[in-house]
Amino acid sequence: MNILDQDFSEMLLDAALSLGADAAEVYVNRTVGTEILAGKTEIDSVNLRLADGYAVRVLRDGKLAFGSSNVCEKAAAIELVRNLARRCDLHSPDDNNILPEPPTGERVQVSEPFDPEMADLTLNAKFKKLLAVEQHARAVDPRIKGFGWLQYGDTVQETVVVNSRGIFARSRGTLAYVFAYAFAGDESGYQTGTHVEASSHFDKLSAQDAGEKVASYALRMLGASTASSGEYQIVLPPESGSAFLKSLSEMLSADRVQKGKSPLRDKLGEMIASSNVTIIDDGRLEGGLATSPFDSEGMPSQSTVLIERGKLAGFMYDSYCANRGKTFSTGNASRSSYHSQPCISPTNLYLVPGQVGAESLIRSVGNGLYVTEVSGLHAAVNPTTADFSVPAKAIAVRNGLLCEPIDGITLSGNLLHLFRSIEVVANDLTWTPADGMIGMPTIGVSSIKVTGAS
Amino acid sequence: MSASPIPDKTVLHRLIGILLDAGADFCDVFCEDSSYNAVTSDDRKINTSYSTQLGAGLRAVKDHCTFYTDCTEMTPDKLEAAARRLAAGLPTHSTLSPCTVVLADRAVIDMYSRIKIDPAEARIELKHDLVRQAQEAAWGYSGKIRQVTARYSDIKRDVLVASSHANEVVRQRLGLTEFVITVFAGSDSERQMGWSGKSFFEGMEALTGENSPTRFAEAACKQAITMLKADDCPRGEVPVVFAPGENGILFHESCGHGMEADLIEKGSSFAGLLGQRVASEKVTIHDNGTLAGYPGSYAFDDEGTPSQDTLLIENGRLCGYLHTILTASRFNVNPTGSGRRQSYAFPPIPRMRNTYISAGPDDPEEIIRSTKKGIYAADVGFGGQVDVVTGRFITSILLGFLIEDGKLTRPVKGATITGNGIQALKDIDMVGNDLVINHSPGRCGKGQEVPVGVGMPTVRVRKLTVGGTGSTF
Repeated sequence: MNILDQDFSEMLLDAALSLGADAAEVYVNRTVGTEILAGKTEIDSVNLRLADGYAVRVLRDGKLAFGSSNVCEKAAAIELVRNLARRCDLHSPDDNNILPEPPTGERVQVSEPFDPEMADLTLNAKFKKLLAVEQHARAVDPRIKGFGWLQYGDTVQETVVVNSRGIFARSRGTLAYVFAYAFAGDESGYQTGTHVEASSHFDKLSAQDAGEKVASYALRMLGASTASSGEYQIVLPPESGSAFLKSLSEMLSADRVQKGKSPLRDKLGEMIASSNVTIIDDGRLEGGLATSPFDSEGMPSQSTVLIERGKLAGFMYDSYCANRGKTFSTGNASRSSYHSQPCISPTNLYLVPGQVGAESLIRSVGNGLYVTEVSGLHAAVNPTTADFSVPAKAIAVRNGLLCEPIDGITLSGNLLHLFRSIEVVANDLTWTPADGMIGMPTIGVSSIKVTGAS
Repeated sequence: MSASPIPDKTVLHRLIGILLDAGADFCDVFCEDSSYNAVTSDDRKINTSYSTQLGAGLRAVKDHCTFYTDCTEMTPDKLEAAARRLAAGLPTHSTLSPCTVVLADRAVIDMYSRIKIDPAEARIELKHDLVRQAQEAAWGYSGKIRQVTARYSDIKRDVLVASSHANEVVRQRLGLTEFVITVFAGSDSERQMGWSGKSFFEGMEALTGENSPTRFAEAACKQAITMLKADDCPRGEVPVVFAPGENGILFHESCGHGMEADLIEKGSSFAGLLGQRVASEKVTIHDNGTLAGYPGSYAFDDEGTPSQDTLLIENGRLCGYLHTILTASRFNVNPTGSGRRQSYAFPPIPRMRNTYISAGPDDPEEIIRSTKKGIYAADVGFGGQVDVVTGRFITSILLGFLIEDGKLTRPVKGATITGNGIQALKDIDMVGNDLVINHSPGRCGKGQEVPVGVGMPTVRVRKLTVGGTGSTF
C-alpha cells in the first residue's frame, strides 16, 4: 500500500487508540535518491535508492513508546503498533511527554525547496555533472592530481506527520549535491581540499563552482610549512568558521540545556558573545535548503533568535522540551531517517552578516592567521565545557595581505571565548550543509592560542 | 511473526539471470531481515524503541562500474521489477542469450548459534532491568553525578548473499548485544563527561561479571570524576604512551583506512608501499574477522567471501590491503572477505573488521618507567579524523596522565594528538606484551556505518604533537 496515503497513517492511529493509547503519531517518509561515485575520470558506482519507511509513537499515561519499520504491509504495521502498546507499561512516566496539538493562529506560507524536474533526470545528466567537477578542477591548474573522493547525490523526499491530536503535516523537498575531496601535488608534496556544493535545484548545482573551489582549496596550501607557537589574531572564512558555529548550535539545544549538558545552561539573558554576534535559526528562510513548512513532529517552522547582539536570547525546542520548559516549540524537531526518534537540530541557522567585505576585514586584521581548514572539530570540542583543541591549516596574514600557507598547527581555546572575541563580521554569508544548514560569514577573532613548531 | 520473508532460490535464480542477461560481468543479491531493540535511560527516564528492517540490494558490475539498487518489498514481482530497473541502466550488450542460473548452497558456520541467551527471544523486562541497574549505580556513585545516559541495544540480522561470482547462495545470522553509558559529573560551574561500554557478537550472557552494566556505570563515573580533577593538558611535541585496548581506534583511523583497497586506488598514503617498511619492526597489524564474539566478526562478508585473518603489517613491512571482489580483481589478488555494507541499501566496499596491533616484547610498566616526560593516553575517546591522501590524523585524548620521571602523575584533559599515520607507526619504539582487543561499542563510518573491534597493547610513540589548552611542555 502507498504509505504516503492518509489511509495508512489513519489506520495506524486507529489501531493505537483502540489498544488504549491516549494519543499516537505516525511519521512517514519516502526518499528516492541517487548516489554516484567517480573514479579516475569515469563512473565507479551508481546507487539508485528508494526508501519507504514509517515511525510510530504511542502515548499512554505519560509513557511514550517509539518504533519504526520499512515493512509496509498492513499486518506488519499493525503488529508494530501492538508491540509498542505492550511496551508502554515499561516506560518511565514523564509528565512532559507530549504529542503536540496544532498551534492556533494564522499559518505562514513557506515555499519548500523543491525541484519538480529532479525525479525525472537521466543518469547521464548526473554523470556529466559529476565528471564536469573533475574537469573544472583540473582546468584550474595541472597540479591538481586527482580526487580522494568525488560523489554526486540527490534526493526527492516526501514526508507526512499525522497525530491523533489533530496534526496533519505534509512536506516535500529536493536536494542535489557534490562532495569533492581533491589533492594537489608538486615538488613540495601533497595537499588536500574538501568542498560540498549543494542546491535544491539540479540546474543550479554548479559543477564549475564545485570544481574551482575544491581545486583552489587544495592549491592554496601547496608548500605549506608550520608556524611558531603563540597567540594569534585569526580570520575564519565560512569554510572553517561554519564548524565552530555548528558546535555552538549543539549547545543551543534545549534538550542539552535542560539536562545540564550544555555550558550555556544557566546563561539565558547574559552576554555570551561579542555584541556584533546575532544568531538566528530560520526554518522558513526563503531559498534555504533546510526550509520546510513543518518540523518532524508536524509543528510549523519558525524563525528563532538564539543570540541577539551577543545576548543569549533563546534555545531551540521540540515539543517535549517546550513542555518541560513551559514554552513553545520552535519547530526544531528533526529526524535523520524514519528510524530515528525526533531530536533537536538546527534548520537554517546563521550568524547575521555585517557590513564589511571579507577582503577589507583581512586588511583590518593586519597580522595573523587566515584559517582555511579545521579537521574534526566535532571530536575536538568538549560538549560540556566548550574547550577545544583542533588541528588546522591556515594562510599567514601580514600587513593585511594573504601570504604563505601554514600547515601542522593546532588551535586551542574555548568555543564561548571565541564567540566573545569576534571583533568583525563580514558580509559574505555562505551556507554549508551539516545536519541542517549552517550559514557563516567571514569573521575576525582577536586572539587564539596556536601550537606549531616547538 | 510468519515465515521468513527472504525470497527462495527460484526467485534468486531469476534475479541473477536477469542481470547476467543484461550483460553484467558479475552480480549479486543481498537480502536481510533485521530487528533492533533498545532500552535507554536519559535524565532518569527509561524508554524503549524497536525497529524492523527488511530489504534486498541488487548489484550488477559491468566493466568495473557498480550499478546498485534496493527493494524493500520482498515479493517476487517487486524484486524482479528492481532487477529490470537495474538491468535497464547497464550499458547494453546485444549478443547474449538468456542464461539459466543455478546457485549451489554453501554451508557456513553460523556464529549466531554460539549465542546462549538470544536477545531476540529474551523478555524486554530483562533488558529494562539492566538499564535500571546501571542508572541506579551511576546516580548512586557520587553526589557529583549530574546526568546519566545509558543505552542497551541488540541487533539481529538474518542475511543472505546470492552471487554469480561463486555461483553460490550463503546465509548467516549476525547479532550484537551492546551497552554504553555516558555520565556527566561536576559542580554548578564545571561539567565533565565519562563513558564506558562494549559491543558483543554474543547474547545477553555477555553483559555479566566484569562486563555487567553496573561495572560500566562505575567505570564511566570514575572517569568523569577523575576528569574533574584533571588539569588542562600542556601542548608540544612529546612521547605518547597509549593504554592498551580501545586506543587501537587511533591506528584504525590513522592507518587502517589507508590500507582499504578502494582508498589505495584513490591515492592513499599507503599506496605503492607493499613490501616496504611503513612501521617500526616491533609493529604487526592484523585485521581479523574470525574472532569469536567480536563486533567485526562474521562467517562471510556481504558479498559472500569467507572471512579471514588478514595480515596488514608484519614486523614493520606492509604486506597487504583489504579487498572486495572488485578491488581484488583489479589488484590481481584474492579478496580478503572485507566487503561490507551497512545494510541492504548500500553496495559493499572494503572495510575493517577487528583491527589490532599484535603484542610486542616490552613490559608495559617498563614502557612508562623509561619515559622521562610525556603523556599517557588512557582514553582517546571516540576516534577522530584522517586525511587518507596525506596520512594526517587527529584524535582527542579524552583522559590522559602526565608522565614525569617515569611515573604517572597528574590527570590531564582536553588534549588532541595530531600526526602522520606512517610516521607515527615508524616512531613506535616500544610495544607491550599486554594486547587487549576491545569489543568497541562505536561504529566505523565511511559513508556507511559498520561495527568494528579495535585493539592494541601498551604502545609508545616517540614523538607526537599534543595540542592542549594548557601551557607548553
